[in-house]
Amino acid sequence: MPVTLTSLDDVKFTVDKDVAERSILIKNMIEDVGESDSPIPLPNVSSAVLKKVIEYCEHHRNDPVQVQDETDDPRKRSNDIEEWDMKFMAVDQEMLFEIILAANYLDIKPLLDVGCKTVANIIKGKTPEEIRKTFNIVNDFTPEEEAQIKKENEWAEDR
Amino acid sequence: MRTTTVFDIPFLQDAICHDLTTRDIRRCMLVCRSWSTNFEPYLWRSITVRRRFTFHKIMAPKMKKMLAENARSIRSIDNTFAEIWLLFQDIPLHNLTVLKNPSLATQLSNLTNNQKYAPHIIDLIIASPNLQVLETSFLGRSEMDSKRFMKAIRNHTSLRELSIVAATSVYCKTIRSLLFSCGNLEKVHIQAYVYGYRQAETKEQDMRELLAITGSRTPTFKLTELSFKCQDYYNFRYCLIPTLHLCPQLERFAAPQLHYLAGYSDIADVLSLTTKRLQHLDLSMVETLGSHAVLFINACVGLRTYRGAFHCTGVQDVYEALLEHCKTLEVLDLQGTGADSAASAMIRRLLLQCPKMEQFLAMGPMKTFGPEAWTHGDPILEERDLAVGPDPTSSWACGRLRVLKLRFRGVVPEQLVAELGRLTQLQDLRLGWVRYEDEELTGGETAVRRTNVSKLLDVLSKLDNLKRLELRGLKAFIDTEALKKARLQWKHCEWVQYS
Repeated sequence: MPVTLTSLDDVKFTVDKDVAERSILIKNMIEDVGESDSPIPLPNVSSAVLKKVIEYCEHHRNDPVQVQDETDDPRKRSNDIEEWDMKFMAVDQEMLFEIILAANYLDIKPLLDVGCKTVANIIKGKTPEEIRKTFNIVNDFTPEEEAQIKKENEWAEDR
Repeated sequence: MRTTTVFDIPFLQDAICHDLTTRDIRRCMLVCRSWSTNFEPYLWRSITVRRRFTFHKIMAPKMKKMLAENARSIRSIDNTFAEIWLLFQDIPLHNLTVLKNPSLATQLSNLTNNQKYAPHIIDLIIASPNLQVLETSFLGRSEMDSKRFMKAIRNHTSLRELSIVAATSVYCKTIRSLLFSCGNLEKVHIQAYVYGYRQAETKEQDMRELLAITGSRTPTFKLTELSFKCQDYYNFRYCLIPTLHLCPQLERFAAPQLHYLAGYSDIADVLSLTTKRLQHLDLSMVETLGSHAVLFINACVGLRTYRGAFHCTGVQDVYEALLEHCKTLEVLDLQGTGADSAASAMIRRLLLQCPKMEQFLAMGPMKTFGPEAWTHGDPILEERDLAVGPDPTSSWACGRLRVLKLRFRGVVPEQLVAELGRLTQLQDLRLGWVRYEDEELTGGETAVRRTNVSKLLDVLSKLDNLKRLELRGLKAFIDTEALKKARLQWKHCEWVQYS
C-alpha cells in the first residue's frame, strides 16, 4: 500500500509503505494512526532533501533491519561505506548536512551512520586550516588562546 | 552559522567522532572556539602512549590536573610506560573500559622504571569500576603484588576479558592462582613459559588450596574462551586440568605446547567430560600425534573453527574426524596437516562437503620457512583427485568461501579453474603450484600451463570481491597481457603478487 508524504514546501511524494517505513518516525506514525489515506506531513524536511532520502530508502528497502548493538564495541564497527552509498553522498556540503539532519529527524539510523561517516572522512587527515576552509569557518581564536590549546594537547598529535 | 549545526547536536557529534583519531580531534579543536568546546570531551576518549616523546608530553606538570578534569571522558588507555599509572592515582576513572599495557617488561630502555611503577596498575584496576578489557604483562613482581593483582581481578565486577603475555617465565603456582582467579571472566588469554614442577602433594590438600582462592567449595567458572598458549613440561596437571574441570561453558580453547605428549589426551578427556559447547579449537602451538588431535576434535559438538597442529603425524585420521563436522565448519587452518599422500583426496572431500566454510587455509607464508621448505607440511591438492569419488562432476559446497589458501600439483586443471570461478564471495586467494619431484617440463607442457593460467586469470577477473591474490610458483606461466586485462576488471583488488 502506498503512503503519501508532504514536505516543508508542500510537495507530495507517494512511496511504498515498506520504503517509507525505513524511517522509524514514519513507521511509528503509521502504527499510531492506523491505515489512512491522508498524507503524512514532514514539516522539517524540504522537498529537495526528501527526494534524496526517498532515493536512499528505495535502494535499501530490502536491507535487514539493523539491530541496535548495546555493547558499543568499537572493534565491531566497520569504517567502510558501500559504493552506492558513497556515490549517493557525493553531494554539496549543505545538502550533506541537510540529509544528516533529516535522517536524524526521521530516525533512519543507517542513513545517519553513512552521513556521519562521510563527514568524518572529510575531516580525516586535514589540518585545522584545511578544515576551516572546507567548512567555511572563521578562526575566532586570539593567538594566545590558539597557542595554549596547541601546547596543552600536544600529546594527542603523536601516534 | 549554518555549517556548525551538524556539529552542535551532541548525538551526531558522537557518531562523527567515532570514526576520527585522537589526532584528528585535536586538529578539530584548533579550528575555532565553538569546535574547541564541542570536540574537547572526545580528545580524552582514548589515550595512547607508545613513544618516549609522547610520554614526556603526558608527564608535563599541568597534565595531572587536566586528566582529573577530563576523567569522565576517558574510555581507553594504551600505555607502555608504567610511570604514567602514578598520574592516575586518586583519579577515579568511571568510564574506563579498556586498559592495555603491552610488553611491559620487554621495553628494555625503561625496564627499571617500569618494574618499579608497574604495581600501580593494580590501583588503577581497582579505581576503574567499569573496566571490561585488561591486557597486560604484569603478574606481580613480589608475592605480595601478585596476590593483590589477583585479588583485584577476582573482586572486579565488570571485567570480562583478560590477556596476559608474560615476558619472563612464570612459576606454576602463580599461573594456578591466576587461573583460579578468573572464574568470573569470559575470555582469558595467557601466554607464558611455565616452570616449577611441583612434587606431588596429596591431591586433597592441593585442591583445598585452589578452592580457597575461589572462596567456594563447588565453584563453576564462567569462561567461554580459554587460550592457554604456554610452554609447559608437567605443570598443566596442576594449572590447566583443574581449571578445565570447572569450565562447563567453554566454547573456545587454545592448547599449550606440552613436552609430555600423553598429556594431550588428558586435556582432551577433561574437555569432552566438562564442556558440551566446545566449537573452536586452536592447536597451533601443538606438535603431536594425529590421534591426539582427533581426541580434541571429538570433544567438540559442532566444530566451527579448527586451527591445526603445526606439525602432526597420522593426518588421515585427523581429516576423517574433521569430516564428521563438515556441516558446521567455518574456519579451517590445515597448515602443517598434510605431510601425507592421503591429504589431497581429503582436502577435496572437505571442499565438497562443507557448506558453511568461510576460510580454508592450507598454505603457510613463504617467508617463515624459506622458498624450499614450504613444500613440506602443508597439504597439496593433486590433479588426479579433482575428479574422483562417487560423483566426479559434483562441485564444491563451500560457496561462502572468503579466504582460500591452497597448494596444488598438475597442469592448472580446468576443474580447479571452474571451481574457483564459482566462489563469488572470495576476497583473498593464495594459490601455490608445486612441481612433482624431478619434473622437467617440455616446451609443449609449459605452453599448456600458460594457456590454463591465462584462463585462470580470466575466470578470477570476474570475481568482483577479490581484494588480494597471490600466485606462488606460477610466474613462468603468467602471460603479462592476461594479467593486465584481469587487473582492469578487478574493482577492489588491492594486492596482486606472483612468484
